Amino acid sequence: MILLFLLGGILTGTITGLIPGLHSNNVAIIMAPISLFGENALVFVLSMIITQSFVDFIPAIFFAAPETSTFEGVLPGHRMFLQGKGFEAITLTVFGGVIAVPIGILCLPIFNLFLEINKDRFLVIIPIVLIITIIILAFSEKSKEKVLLTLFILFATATQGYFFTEQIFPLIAGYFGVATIIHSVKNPPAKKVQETTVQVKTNYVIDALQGILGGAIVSIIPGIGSNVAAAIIKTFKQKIKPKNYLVLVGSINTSNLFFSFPVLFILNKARNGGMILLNEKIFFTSQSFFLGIVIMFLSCGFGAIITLVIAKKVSSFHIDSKKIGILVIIFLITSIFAFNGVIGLVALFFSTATGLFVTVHKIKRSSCLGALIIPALFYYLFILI
Amino acid sequence: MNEKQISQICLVIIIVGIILFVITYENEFCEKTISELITNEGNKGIIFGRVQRVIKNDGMALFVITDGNEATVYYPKFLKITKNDFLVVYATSQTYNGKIELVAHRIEKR
Repeated sequence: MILLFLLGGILTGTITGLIPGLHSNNVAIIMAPISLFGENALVFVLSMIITQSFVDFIPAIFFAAPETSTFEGVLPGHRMFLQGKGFEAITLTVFGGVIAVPIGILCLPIFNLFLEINKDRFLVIIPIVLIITIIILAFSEKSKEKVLLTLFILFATATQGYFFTEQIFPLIAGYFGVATIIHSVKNPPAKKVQETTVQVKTNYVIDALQGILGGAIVSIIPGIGSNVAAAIIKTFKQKIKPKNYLVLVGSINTSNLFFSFPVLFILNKARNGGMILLNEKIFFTSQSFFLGIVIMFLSCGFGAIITLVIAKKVSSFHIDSKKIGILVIIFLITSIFAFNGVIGLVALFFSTATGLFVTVHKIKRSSCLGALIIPALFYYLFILI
Repeated sequence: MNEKQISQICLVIIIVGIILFVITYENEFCEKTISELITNEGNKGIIFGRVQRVIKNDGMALFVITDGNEATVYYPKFLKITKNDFLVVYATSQTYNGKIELVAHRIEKR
């Protein structure tokens, strides 16, 4: 019986990962009233979220259709896709995720100890890191004009972040998805033949380890997601190469979800939709904890293989990037209207306009993260004051 | 390292995961009688029984349940129950003041 829930979770995670806008959080909300509980709920939810953390990158990289957790990988990944290296980009994110879970398991005793000792200090450290990130984002531009434009974008996106509090997905889809697709219409189309031979350098393990650290930290802290962690690391590591960055993003995304489970057990804090659901549905016993860890380990293997198989299959088709782009825009508009209503479409309109402005003026796209970073900064300052 | 080698690592992860699952997995809850459950501390199971008496129900619930044998059940939340209600209780046994009682993790009213 439990194997059926494992397979059901993996299948659901694959489907939610492939459909932009349908996040496992939505599935968790749909599942909330269903009388699924105990180890069945535990196995289903954990296998779903871990599988999705891998599959998520397929629409993000091949179709520039981001999720709230993968948008940091859209630009370098989609650029590689246009060069005929989409499969390699997916493999790099998979590599990051595959490293994240086993190493995460080995780090669990240290992580648990770290949680106990430092949980209060994060409140002070995080706003400092966020302020430094904003300063680096703005002042790393080379001309005065661009610095001013970046400050303007940070202000504009922060305003959008405040105004559209519950509309994170439409904002992200606009900044990193629709704007990218519209802008790429004038670019040469993607290469007809995608390369399916890949070489992953073993030194990418270092990026995966950094991702695990980032994922572990953001799993503890409310208000900051894996995407912001990736942007912060990218800001500090100015010269990070796209391939290393994709490994980093893949690792952060999976390890963030992996560590949110021990955080639920130890701190009794739910950091994502899946954990909120589990908080209500599972029995907090050591047996449940070990079962959860084993299920995430298993799902990591399944999720990675499924992602590689699907990505290889998609790579073998000729993808007309312009036609697909138009289809993705229609799909994003439809799904945003379905899940977020008219206000979501308004948020999408403003965020797309901002994303295009940033692209046209060749400012760093990560300045759009003002929509997430600045509200998070004020959240922490408000708590401290 | 190419994608085939990454797939091989994933296969190893799956095999190790299955082995760990087989070694560590034990059924979370299965149907038991009250007498089976209260023989030892740490037993767990699903019991079916009637509420014989509600001792306390104020932020937490303490009541006596019977299926022929009796046991005191503690549940950390308020419960809408009265005498003779038929309940399905997911519980573990625990020693309290030298006596084995049941701690309920989930209670369903039938």
